[in-house]
Amino acid sequence: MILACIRRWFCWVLVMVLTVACASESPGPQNDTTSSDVEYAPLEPTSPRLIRLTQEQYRNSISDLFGPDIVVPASLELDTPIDGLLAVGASVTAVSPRGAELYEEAALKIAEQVMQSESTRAEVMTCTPGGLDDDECMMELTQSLAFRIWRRPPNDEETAQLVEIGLEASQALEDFESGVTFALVAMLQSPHFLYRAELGAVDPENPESRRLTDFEMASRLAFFLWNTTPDFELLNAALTGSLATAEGVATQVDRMVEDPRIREAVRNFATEWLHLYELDHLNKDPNIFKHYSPDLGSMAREETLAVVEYLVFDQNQDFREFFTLPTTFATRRLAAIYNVPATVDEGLGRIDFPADNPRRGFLGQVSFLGLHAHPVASSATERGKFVRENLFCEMVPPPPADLNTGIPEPSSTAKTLKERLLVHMEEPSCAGCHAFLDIIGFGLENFDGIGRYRTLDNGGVIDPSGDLDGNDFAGFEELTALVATDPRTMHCLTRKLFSYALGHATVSGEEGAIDELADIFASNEYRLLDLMVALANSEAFRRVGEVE
Amino acid sequence: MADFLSRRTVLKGILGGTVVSLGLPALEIFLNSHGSAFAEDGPAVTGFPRRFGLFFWGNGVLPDRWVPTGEGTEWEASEQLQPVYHLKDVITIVSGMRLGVPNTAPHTAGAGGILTGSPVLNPYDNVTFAGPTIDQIIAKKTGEDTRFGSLEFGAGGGSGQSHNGPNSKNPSEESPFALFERVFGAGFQLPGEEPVIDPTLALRRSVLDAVMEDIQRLNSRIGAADAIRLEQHLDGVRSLEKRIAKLEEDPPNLAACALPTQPEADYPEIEGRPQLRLKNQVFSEIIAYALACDQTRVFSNFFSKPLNNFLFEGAPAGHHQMTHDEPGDQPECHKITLQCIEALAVQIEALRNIAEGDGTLLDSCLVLGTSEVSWGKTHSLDEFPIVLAGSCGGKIKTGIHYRSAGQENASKALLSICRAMGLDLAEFGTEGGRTSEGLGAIEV
Repeated sequence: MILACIRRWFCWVLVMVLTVACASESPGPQNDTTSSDVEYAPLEPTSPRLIRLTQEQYRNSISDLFGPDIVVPASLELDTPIDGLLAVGASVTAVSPRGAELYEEAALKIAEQVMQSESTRAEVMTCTPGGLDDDECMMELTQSLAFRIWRRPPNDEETAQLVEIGLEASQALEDFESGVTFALVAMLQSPHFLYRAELGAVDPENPESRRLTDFEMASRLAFFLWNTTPDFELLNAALTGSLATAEGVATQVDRMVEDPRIREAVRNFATEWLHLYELDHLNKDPNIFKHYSPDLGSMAREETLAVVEYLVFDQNQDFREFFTLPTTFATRRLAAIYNVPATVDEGLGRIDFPADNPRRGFLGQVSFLGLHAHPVASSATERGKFVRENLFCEMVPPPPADLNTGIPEPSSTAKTLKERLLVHMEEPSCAGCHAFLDIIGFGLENFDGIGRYRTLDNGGVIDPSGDLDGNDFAGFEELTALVATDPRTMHCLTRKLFSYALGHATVSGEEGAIDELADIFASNEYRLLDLMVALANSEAFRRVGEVE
Repeated sequence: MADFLSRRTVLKGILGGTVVSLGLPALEIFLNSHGSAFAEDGPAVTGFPRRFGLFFWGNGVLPDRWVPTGEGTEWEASEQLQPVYHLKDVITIVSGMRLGVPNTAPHTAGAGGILTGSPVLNPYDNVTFAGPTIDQIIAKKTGEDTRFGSLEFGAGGGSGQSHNGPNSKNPSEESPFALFERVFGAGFQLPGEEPVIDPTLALRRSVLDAVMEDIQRLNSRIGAADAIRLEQHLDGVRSLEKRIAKLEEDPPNLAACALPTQPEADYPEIEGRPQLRLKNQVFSEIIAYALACDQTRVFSNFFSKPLNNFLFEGAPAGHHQMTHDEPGDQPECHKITLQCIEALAVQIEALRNIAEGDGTLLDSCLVLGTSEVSWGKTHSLDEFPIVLAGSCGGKIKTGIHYRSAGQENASKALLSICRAMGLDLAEFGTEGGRTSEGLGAIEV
């Protein structure tokens, strides 16, 4: 029965690969060849989109501009993931009326704090006003502030407008510094601050194509490599024209990857790629999962980010180890879930899993196992779906409508979730996608809905074996090793990073560029920082299509 | 500003944190801020502005236990409608309707279908609807005169379902305290109070003018898709400017206006379960007073969202999981639906509890209670759950059960709602969801 069923769903998978449903978005490179005679499809960049600063980028920018003591209100316009990435949502979604209101509130509060604090006020007040209507001093101030806040020099019209606002407020409130406050409020609500307008211009060396201007390039580099606004040196590089050349860009990129802010960028990318932002809403029934508490989600996120930082910065190691590393960084509660002794009382402590503990890598962490599960149970389907969509970059269509979606109750012949789902898959209409998704989830069934190791499910012995698109695995350890070495995984990571850096879902004209970067990644022993450097220096990072 | 704050502090002291209708002169006719009589487009029976509210719960119902028996005024509640049955005289049940949109993506297609009357933009993803939702279609018409064009909130709302257009969502406020502060916090004036005199208000409006000029200048350099996004942003800034201008005018003069109880700062989950019931009670009262004070005429209350997997009170598993996994006649899913309909009753009662004119606030309201699917288990869009409450100033029949004999397009009900709200619409929805006919049986 089961064999017949497996054969049937295997046929379904094939059918679906051939149609749109359950098909792979694009096949990854089948080997790690990087020989120089590989020809990549030529780049056809897509038209540019305005990219709104995400909440993180807004906060980081304010902190970099005015210091970490400035308190940014907790509520800003919400970020919306598209293709799982907030960075993509930021170039597609519109600011809501509520968002406009929150941006005003934030601008008022930030400007007020900047002008109240001795130190920031002194930095802003670079001239001494000769009176409430001193337009020269107001111009000097607003020009230099707008240069930093808007990540480019303001033009004359823009400056005149800021001066007008500043002087109007100065005179109405009979206080020059209050005038500056309102000029700041205007700059912080302006679309020139809230959006990155990386629109490009005709490339002087290649008039057929368009590329980012130097200031746009400074912005894109800063938000990609630091997740924040460009610093003065980067803006200066744009101002002096050194970002116009590939060498100039390379110099800045080299400097930027040595800067501590790169950690923030890597953490942020990992947060988006792995959907760690969803952990704020991790929700479990504490009567079933005794280890649950409302702060478990944020602990789990920090754990995963600590492992990413360890791999990328402390070890600068092959990133495929993210899936196989027998090391993690856990709080006492996480250690209890992992059934190992905690190594610290507070915060995260390094844990090396002993040989008899099968837990390995990201797929063994609560941030994955707990998030892609139900409040009271595991979910082979949710876990498999995450792997397909976000680690393999494959498309999973929604289930067909008007179907009985119920899976059978546990019975004496079908106790475990796997056994019950296999019965469910006897329905041909369910089999295609469920097999595609669940087969991966079955390999993870030794971990319950919060991530505790188990061998029994509902009294039945769990069978974690399966076959990942033609490769057999006996259980979790073999499955996670297969995921690590599957060529789709690192190609997909490259695609995600590309999409994240450029702020749009990848288009067909970018496939060659992604393939090339994936090969560079492979030839650099999968060191993530090397991939980031290669991407920042690539033609695809700089070129844009026509505005349309 | 300092004077204003101290006045409010005194006021709060008097009220002692409870809802007290102030002894202000009761006006029999509603006047807008310019002192002229309200309701130009055909005066509503009550003489009060008409108000629309959406009440949304996720994961549908159990259709077998949903449909009432009897039709017209002679009907009796089904099991799942028991929680609103005591409100029989002021509600109308519409049953037997189906969504006309293709059911391409479970939960999303249905949500888009019932709220926009249109297929979703991309049939296979859950990112966005193809156009504005009914609350925003109405707000565009009725929102011009009030401080807030619309308010979106809800105990389990999240990013919300209310759309201004494609990829333009209105987030749903999840904190009752934040909603209270937004509407009744700094700047709010009770009827009869003096408008705020604050020179910074004019300056804030000057800043917004400059922001709008910046947006328009940028608009000339970007592509078509971005131009639509910036236009939405511009609308938001424009409505913000109006909101600030409202603070400088006399507040709306409605006798029913009062301050709601100030909510707790936080309603943390208890044992992994969000306090949906309590939060909804508090939200319902806040929005009722926001309407009574004419701060807005349109609201969306997202009690729970499509596809939500909340652990409801007493439930053995998350709601969405149970709709699929619970066998038999799904007694646990049934109990959750009852909690959702109880919450709808609480929202309706909050509106009915406020006396206005000769009746209650609910008389001028029209609340649409619905979900994104009918039977969660199959994601079915037939036998779609639709509850209406309030007569919209006498435009909609109440106390009846309308049973569609031929599975009519649910958009008909939406078109009737829009027309009752004073919109002159020739049709509602697109493609399979399109209709040019209202539901005559519920219209007065």
